[in-house]
Amino acid sequence: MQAFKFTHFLKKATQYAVKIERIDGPGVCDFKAEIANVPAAAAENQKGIELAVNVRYEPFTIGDSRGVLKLTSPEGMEYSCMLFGKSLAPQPQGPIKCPAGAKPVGIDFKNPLNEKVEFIVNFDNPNFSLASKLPGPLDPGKATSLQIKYDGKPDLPTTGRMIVTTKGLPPWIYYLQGE
Amino acid sequence: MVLKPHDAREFQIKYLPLMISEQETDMVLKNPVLGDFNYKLRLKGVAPTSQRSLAFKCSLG
Repeated sequence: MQAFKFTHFLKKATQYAVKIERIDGPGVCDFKAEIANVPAAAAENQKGIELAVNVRYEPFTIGDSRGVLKLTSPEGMEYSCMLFGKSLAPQPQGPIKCPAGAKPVGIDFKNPLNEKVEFIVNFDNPNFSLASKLPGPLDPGKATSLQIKYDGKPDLPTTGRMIVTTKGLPPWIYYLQGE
Repeated sequence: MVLKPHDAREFQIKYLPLMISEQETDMVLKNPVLGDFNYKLRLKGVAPTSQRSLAFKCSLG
C-alpha cells in the first residue's frame, strides 16, 4: 500500500471523489483506493493543505498492470497519478514452527485470483499433514486457515515443505520446522 | 506603490490556477492626478507538464 499525496489550494472546503481505472485493457482493476472520497478543509494560505489517499495493489496474477488514480472535486479541480504494478511469483515463506502432537499450527492462505479456484496442498514429508480437509474451491479474495499437524515421528525428518498449487501458477511454498 | 519622478519599477503578479482554464481579468493602477492605467490580463492554466506516478512490486498472494 502506498499513499498518493496532493495539495489542496482552494480557499473553500470541498470533497474529492476518488476513482481508479485500469488502463492496460479490460477486466478487473487490481489497484484499490482505501476511501471513495477525500474531504478537504478550506486552504488558509498559498501553501495549501496536504491530503493523501492510500492505494492498495492486490494483483490477481503474475505480471505487470497499469492504472490511473483520479481525484476530482465538484469545482473542477483534478489530480491524477499513474499506477504501475509488478506482481512476482509467490515467495517461499517460513520456517514455520510446528510443535509435535500439540494443537495444529494455522496458516492463513488467501485466494489472490479473481476467480473461484481449487488449491491442492501437498507435503514433501509425511511427518506433516493437514489437520482438517480443505473447504473446497476458494472464492476470489477469500482466505482459509490451513491447519498443519506435526506428528514428530523419530524416523522421519523434522523439516519439510508445504506446497500449495493451483493450475497455471507457480506453487506457494511454506518451510516447516517440527519441534 | 510609490514612484520617484521619472522612475520606473517592476512588480510581480502571481497567478495560481487551480484548474485547466482560460480567463481574462482587469488590473487597474490608480493615481489621483494621472488617472487610471487599465490592463487586461489573459490567464491560462495549462495541464501539468509532468505526470506523477506510484510503482508497486509484490509477490502474488
